Amino acid sequence: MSDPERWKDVCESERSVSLDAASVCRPLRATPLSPIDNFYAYISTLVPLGTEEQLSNNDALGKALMLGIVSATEHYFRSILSGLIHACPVVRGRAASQTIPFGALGYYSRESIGLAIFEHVSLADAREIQKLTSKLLGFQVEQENSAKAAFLEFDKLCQIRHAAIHSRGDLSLKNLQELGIAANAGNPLAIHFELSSLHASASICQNVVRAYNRLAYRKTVEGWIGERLLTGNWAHDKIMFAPLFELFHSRKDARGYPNSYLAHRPLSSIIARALSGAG
Amino acid sequence: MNLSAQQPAVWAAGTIDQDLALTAVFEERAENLSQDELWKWSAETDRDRALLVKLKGSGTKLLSGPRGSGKSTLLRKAYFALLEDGQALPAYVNFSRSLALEPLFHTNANAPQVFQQWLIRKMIAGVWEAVQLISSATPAALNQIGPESIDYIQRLETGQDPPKLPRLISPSELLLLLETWSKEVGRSRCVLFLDDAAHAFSPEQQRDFFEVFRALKSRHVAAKAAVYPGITSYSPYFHVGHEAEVLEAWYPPDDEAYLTTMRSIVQTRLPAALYDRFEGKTEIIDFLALASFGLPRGFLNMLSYVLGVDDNASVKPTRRNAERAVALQAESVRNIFSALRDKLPRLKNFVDVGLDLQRAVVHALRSFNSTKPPGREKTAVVAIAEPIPTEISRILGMAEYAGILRRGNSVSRGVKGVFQRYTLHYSIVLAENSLSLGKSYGLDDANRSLASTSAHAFVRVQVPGLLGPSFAERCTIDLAPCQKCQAPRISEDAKFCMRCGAELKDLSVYDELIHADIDKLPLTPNKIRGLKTHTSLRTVQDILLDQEAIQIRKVPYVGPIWSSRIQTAAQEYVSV
Repeated sequence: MSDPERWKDVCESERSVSLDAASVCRPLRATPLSPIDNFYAYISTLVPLGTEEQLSNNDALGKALMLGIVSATEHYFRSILSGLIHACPVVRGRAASQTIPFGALGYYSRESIGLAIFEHVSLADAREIQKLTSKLLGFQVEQENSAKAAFLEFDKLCQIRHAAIHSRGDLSLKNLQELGIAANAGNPLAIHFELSSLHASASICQNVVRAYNRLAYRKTVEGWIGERLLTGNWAHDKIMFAPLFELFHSRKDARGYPNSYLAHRPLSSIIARALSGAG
Repeated sequence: MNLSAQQPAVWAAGTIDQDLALTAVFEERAENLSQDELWKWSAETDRDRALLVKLKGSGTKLLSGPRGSGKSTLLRKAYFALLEDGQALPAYVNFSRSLALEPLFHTNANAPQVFQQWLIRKMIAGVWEAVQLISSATPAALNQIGPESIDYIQRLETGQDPPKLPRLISPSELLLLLETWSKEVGRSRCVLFLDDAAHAFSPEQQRDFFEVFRALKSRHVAAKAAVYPGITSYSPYFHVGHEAEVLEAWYPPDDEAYLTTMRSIVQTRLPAALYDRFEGKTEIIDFLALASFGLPRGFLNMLSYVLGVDDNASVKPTRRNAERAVALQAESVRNIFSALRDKLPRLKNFVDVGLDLQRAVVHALRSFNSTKPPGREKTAVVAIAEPIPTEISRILGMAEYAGILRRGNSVSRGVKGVFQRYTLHYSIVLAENSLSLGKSYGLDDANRSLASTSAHAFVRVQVPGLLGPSFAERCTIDLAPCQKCQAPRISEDAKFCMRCGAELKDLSVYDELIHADIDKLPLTPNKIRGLKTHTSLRTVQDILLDQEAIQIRKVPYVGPIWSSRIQTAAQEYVSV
């Protein structure tokens, strides 16, 4: 005889299960690395997880790793922007009118309180970063050709990430339109990462981080010179300049000057010219 | 008979300042010759005239030939002809400095955009220069964009940061501008002569170039580009044959009029004092002409060697000198091939296999020819059984670029299969005695054998027979290991080390080339030694910076001709 209730059993029934959210949290370890070096370190642990064979055989792995890479990029932008709010009085002035949750004052340290501004903002979005840059840092990324090109590529990846997060990688018509891919009737597309595309994605993120890091540093220093915040005298300038240099400097890349004192030296003549009105 | 009595009046007293002109006589690059020099010193065959008609006419054309095959001469001649004929507005543009922009791809995210603007601005600068020569009234827009473009180009080519342009010009906008400017200067159409256009050592640049090139086509605009055989790869949307007709610049040495043409180059180009030294020794001229394998630049090099130009002005052409010149020419051709190791570092192993292939071809020809008694038809042609493996096709393409091999037609031998014919450079054939002429052959014997080779005689070969059965294992892409942990790079696509996660950096080819030791240049050992002993020049960049040749001229026996040749070698080493 058939069970009259059995028609409801289209699948296994749910059961009692729960997660103690605190169990997945652990104290955040402070890093001595600058945001860009922190980004490099994270990427270098993530990318080797996807071998050529694993990525070919496991459709989910590439997407998961790509999400991790974009997340590391978003983390960089949060760190550098909040770091600038702490290190730069001009940016701090612009941020003064921003609203933050009251509780953030207790949760974040003095150095990282800037993070509270971005609590409700996704920085895995090229356009959002550009908007915040204009609002807080006072310059337009779009006017810098090389950085603009880096952001355009990053924007593509953000679209792909969007599809990966919200529909497991199946691409909607809107996704295709945003990516400039022709849609074929009856042939919907989904995301799949091979080693080459995963590495290219990591390179694109690295590129946008580098472009932004160089640009934001240059613009901030130029802004300080324009605002006459620097005197050219190391004894006076170091209190502001040294933390700014450390915020942007990559020890891993080892380019330019190895420390803030040496990096400040060639600025002296530029500052002197600006102060005399010749620059 | 006094040979110079047969010469045209080019060298008559008072026509040309002979001291200055001698440098130009042996000038290897057509773009460095004036309009007068070009017309006077380059012989013109029926074949050249047919090519010039196509170059001056409408339609997109690709002019193909290896280094020194006369592509620039043809483009420059067509350019000057159009300047004078009043119908079309021509522009001559040389892209040989494109490698200087390659470092940008390592330092700028918008490098493709900068490169495209460089291409477009080079063309605008070329039009602007042409208009200055033909019209007193430069179109207003051109007068503004032209000088601005020249400044932009100069800054990019000297390694400065890409300057900001007031606006970007797209290929389709360029097309409209060219049509407008032609009309404004009273010419019905515009023809662009794009020299050194195959950016063979940077795939990104090559792809970008052909995307611009294919857009420059309309009823009133035609573009002609000089490319290399074998090594040029076109963009995915550019279909050779459909988008452009290929014209062959390389003069075939088995052409009936070949020797007559090459003799006339000597007659018109050399001053009487030098030309008369060949009296009673015209077989040396033919020997060198054949050894040059249809590449005029090689011919001029060998002539200057046997005449002792720069080294010893009293030298008389001898058989020994001629053989030495041919051996040096063969070495120089091989050096162009070997230099691909530096320009395409990933294909180092392919270059090594290519040199083995060349040796195997020499050996195969020698064995074949040794069975042919004197008077019987000898050959410099090998026919390789098809299908040719992909990696070997790539190597053969590289050999075509250098001029080591010249691809001919394929030939079917029924059940034995289809074979692809390749002719070995005659200087290598002669230097390696591939004709098996014996130890004491006369130059006439060599000339007769080469001049009478038939396309129907060839040595049939299989790739495994030439290189051994395991040749494919040697044709691997050479990928630099991780700079941090030395783990091997797993593929060309890998951008991060799969062991330590560090970024895998691709070095700039241009930076490597410019800092290369002068040993790498295709110069004689004597000249390299001279440079190292008598000057402080050590790298290719040092030579490029010695623009007035002040240091170079300190080397004994280096006068204007050799100093120009040394500088040309350095320029070409860092060029496409």
